[in-house]
Amino acid sequence: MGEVIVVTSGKGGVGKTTTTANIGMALAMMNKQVVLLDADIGLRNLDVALGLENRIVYDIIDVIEGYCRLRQGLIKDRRYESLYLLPAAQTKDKSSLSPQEMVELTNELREEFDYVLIDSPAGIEQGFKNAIAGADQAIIVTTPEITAVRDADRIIGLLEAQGLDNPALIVNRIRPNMVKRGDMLDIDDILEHLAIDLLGIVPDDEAVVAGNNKGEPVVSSNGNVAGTAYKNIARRLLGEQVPLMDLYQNEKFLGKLKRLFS
Amino acid sequence: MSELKQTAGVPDIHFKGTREGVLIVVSETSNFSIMMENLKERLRMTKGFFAGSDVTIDLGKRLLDSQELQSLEELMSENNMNLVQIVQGPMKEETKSGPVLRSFARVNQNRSSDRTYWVKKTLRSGQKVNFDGNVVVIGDVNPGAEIVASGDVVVFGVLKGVVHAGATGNDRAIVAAGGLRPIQLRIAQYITRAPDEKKDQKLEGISEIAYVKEEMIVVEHYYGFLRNR
Repeated sequence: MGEVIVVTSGKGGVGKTTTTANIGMALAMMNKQVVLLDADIGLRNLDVALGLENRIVYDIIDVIEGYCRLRQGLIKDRRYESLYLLPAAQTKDKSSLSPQEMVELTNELREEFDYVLIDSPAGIEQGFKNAIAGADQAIIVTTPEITAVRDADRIIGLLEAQGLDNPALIVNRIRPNMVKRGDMLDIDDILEHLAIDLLGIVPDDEAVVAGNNKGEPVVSSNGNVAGTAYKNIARRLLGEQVPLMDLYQNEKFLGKLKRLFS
Repeated sequence: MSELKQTAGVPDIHFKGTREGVLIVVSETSNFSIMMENLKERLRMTKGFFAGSDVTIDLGKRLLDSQELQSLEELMSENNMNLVQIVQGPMKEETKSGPVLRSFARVNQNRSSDRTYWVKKTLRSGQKVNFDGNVVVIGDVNPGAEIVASGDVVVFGVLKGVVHAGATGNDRAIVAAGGLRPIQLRIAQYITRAPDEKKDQKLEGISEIAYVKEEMIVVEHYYGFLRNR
């Protein structure tokens, strides 16, 4: 029986879709059977981030309404055999899906996959409620900005109300230099405010934007920090103990010493 | 909520349904014994319809002595009604800082002002606790969360949201927290916000109490509060 994990944030633009694509791909690289489910109906993106847009024939609404079988709706990744995508519908609206239908769909998917990752839409309305309906576990994505952290706090409360009690946090797009200058919230500030478990941190990395535009998630190419961060997160999901990434690894010895005593 | 209705034959007694139970509004002009006769007559006409319900009696400007209060309580229990609170005092009273809400005298202490709602988690943005009694939070109150209580509010962690203690007019209510950094803090009809310059201070280990002193909300360490009360 697989695990159903929803990736959500409240605020838009913090990197839910990128996170879903990369963690999903990293898990598939570790030979797990993974299906990514885009629950952002009407504003689908996950297929683009994965570079699978041109393979879409059926979507999640077609599956739920019975126009096609579940197997027909699933798109197989072109790089990793064990990675699948169930795309969102682009021309239908969110009311064509109900939380109950999502529960049934995820239960069907967890029979065959190790991980079902759901990419949630921004906001706290119907689309969000659908996305979390079938989940056993939630990953909250935030950036080190007060607005994103506030929204994450709201989301944690709403998840609690749905019985999703121990969400895990990913802090995305950290810029070590800004944190050092005190212009960006640091991880401790965020953790103190939200008081939930930290699943990982992802440094701001240009390779992420480039990867999204090419439809090649950063985990699939070597030599970038964000990719390594996502791989670490995937390993932690599998239960491995992986230490947090050293954000200051390029810093000279003297700088490190200075920071230690500041 | 139903409209006030004058009942034929029984002047000056009004029944009103509220979320908390039945509100009985009594005219403030007639003397006590006439009021009691009217109330008895009115209750007889309800034929036990309100049995078992919680009752609030609004006496207007009238003030009762303890004997009168007792007979009123007896009349209620004869009718199997649960007298929860008595509201008395003028509708509005002007003070230097503006109108004061009317005072609520609680009769059954164990049912109202001594009741405490325990929240054993952190209140997060968008979560609201509204309670007739005291509220204790074992956790933080984050920005965007709100507590409204008729009594005291005590927060074990850091209070960063909006709190209204003594919301029904009790200006002796207090707000205490392990760290007091509310976006806004209200006690009874008074309102204040945290000073801007404190914003960057670390919050650990500063237990503070907010209370009303000389028509202003003051924030002090708890020992200052104990000395001044």
